[in-house]
Amino acid sequence: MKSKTTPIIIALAIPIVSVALAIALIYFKKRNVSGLDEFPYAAYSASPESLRGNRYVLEAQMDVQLANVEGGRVVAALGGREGFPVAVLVPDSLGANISAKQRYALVVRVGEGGRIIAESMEKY
Amino acid sequence: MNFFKAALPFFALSAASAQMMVSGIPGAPSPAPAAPAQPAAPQPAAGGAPARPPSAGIFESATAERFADRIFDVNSDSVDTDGNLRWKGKTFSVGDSRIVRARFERYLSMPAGDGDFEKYGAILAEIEAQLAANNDAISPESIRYAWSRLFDAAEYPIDGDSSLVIANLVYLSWRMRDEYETFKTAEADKERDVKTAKSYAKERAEFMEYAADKLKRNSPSRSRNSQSAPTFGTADLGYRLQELQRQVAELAAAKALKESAAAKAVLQFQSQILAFVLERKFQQAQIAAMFYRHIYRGNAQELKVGREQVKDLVQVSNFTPTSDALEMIAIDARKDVSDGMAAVETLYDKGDRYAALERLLETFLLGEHDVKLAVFPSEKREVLRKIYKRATTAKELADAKDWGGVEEVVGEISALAPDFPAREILSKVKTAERASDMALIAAKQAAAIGAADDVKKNMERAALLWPLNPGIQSFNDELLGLTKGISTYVKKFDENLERGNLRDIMDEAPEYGIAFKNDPERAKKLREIVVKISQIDSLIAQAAEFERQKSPYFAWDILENASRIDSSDPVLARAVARLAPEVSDYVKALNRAKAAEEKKAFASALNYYLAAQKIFPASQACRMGIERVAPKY
Repeated sequence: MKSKTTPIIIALAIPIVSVALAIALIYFKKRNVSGLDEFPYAAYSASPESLRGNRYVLEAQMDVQLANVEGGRVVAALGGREGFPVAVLVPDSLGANISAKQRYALVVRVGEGGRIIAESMEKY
Repeated sequence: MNFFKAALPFFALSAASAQMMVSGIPGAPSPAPAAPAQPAAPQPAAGGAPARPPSAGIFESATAERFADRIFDVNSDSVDTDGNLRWKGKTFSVGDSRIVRARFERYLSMPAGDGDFEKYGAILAEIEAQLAANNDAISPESIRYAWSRLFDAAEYPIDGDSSLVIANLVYLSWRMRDEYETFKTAEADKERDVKTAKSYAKERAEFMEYAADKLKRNSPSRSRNSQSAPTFGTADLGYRLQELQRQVAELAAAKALKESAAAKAVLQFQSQILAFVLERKFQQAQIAAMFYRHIYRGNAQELKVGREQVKDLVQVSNFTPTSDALEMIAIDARKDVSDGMAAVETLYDKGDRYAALERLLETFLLGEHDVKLAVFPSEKREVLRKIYKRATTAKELADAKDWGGVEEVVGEISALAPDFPAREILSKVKTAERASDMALIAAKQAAAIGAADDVKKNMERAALLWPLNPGIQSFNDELLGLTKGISTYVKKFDENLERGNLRDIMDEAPEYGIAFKNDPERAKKLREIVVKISQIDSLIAQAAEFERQKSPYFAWDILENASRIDSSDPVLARAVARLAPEVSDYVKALNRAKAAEEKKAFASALNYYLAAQKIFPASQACRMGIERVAPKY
């Protein structure tokens, strides 16, 4: 004999499972495959040098190329959901074709003097 | 002429102002050391009218004339250049402008008439009623009663014996009528005498013819054929003929005497009516014309005298001068005067006292001798007199270009007459004062760079526009002091320069300029300081304007530029400190960028510049910073 409560349990389980899946997706999104944290803009603004040597993931929209320097080019990007402005050195070795308004997920490293250097980048 | 224009051209003052407003302050100093002000080239006036000389016309303008007209020439075309008042196509001589002005002032100063004027007016009204045109069947007794009332009217000083003049004319007419009757009787007697003399002469001549015929018939044929004529009775006939001639001559003389007596009275009467009209004594003219109409009938109504004057008075080609026409002019004028005074009263009671003065002036020209003007209340006249006198004073002050005095007097007039166009005058005064001040500033600027000639020219200009400008005196005192202590200024300049007190140097730049006239090295330094501080001041002023327009980031950007000229300037520092709280986020990012750039941490600097640019995208400082540090990333 079929239980009368089974449909109710199923009805409640569906949204709970959906929410859990969504949270998991967000979590895994932040903790990307490389296992790096998102670029901490506030901390960088307060003290760029203090992040020296760290690596982060920076999801950003390319804005404008600021300068060509030795070994690459300096690009202004708007990072995160807030669109904070950052200057990223994109080495020529990455062979990236960067255009304005394109969104990239970049693995960046904070170098000497607070310089943000892209190590890899993937359009998304 | 416009006697009011001549009387109170007060607002020649507006001239300066007017021209300035039109041409944008002629010769006004530029921020840079002023070049000598060049007078504007004369502009040909429209319609080929001669242009005003630019320099001479500095205090004259169409605006000023319009203004003067409006105030003191209530009807600019009502009084021509010969002092003739034109009213409804009639022309009256009101006399020399100065005299008319004096009469108007005297009228305003005189106490108003008490009850006497009203009694006087009542008597004249009674006489008019007695002699009204619709009362054509008026009895001799009524005319005599009206005539007797003229003597009552003559008792009042306001009458000026005009009623006596009319009474005398009436009496003269009556006496003439009696004489006329006497002359008519004498003429009848003479006609009778002539007839008698003619009869006697005829009788004698017939007797002589009869006697001669009889003598011929009774005489012999020889004697009958002779050519000799009888002489009996010839002397008597001659005497009778002479008598006849004498009687005819006497008759002609009597007729002439009768006619001349009549003509003399008519001419005198008509002359006096005309005189009353020309003197603008319209009520007297009207009463005299009424008497005339009742005393003389028919053909005597046509004017026999003063046709030329009447034609001048009434410049209408088909006008037939009659005593009735003069009476109508008088009635019309009296109505105008009455309406004018009603308007004066209404305007005054409404508080429009300046307009009331205008209307009174207008009415005075026509109805100077009218009772309605005489009974205008003295307290109101006193107020209007004060307005009139103050306006005269203002005019004199304006002639002397004492703008401060003009402002004061205009304020007094406004207190008395709220409708007085004070704002218009004061704006012109302010413009003149400002132009003078600007010339003075130009003189100081010229002094700052040691341009003595420009100092002189601009000082002259300032004095021309406003001789009593207090700034001129203080500047003169400063210049005088300079000549006494050049060495003091040299020392002070060096000390201030060493301490970086550029503002202190700037404050006394004109004095330093004069002092360093023969010291090119210090003069060069002074010039650099003046230019630098002027630039900073200009940028601070621009920033303040942006701040007022609620654009604090733009204002800050401009102050940034000023800081690049001299960041130690205390005035600039105050402006920066005042604005900083409003743009703290931007300033914070920018300061971090600058600090990082100074430490050669170009990557951090670039990121800070980008952060600051996000707050204020139009930032010039950010754009330039990014351009600087990006290649060094």
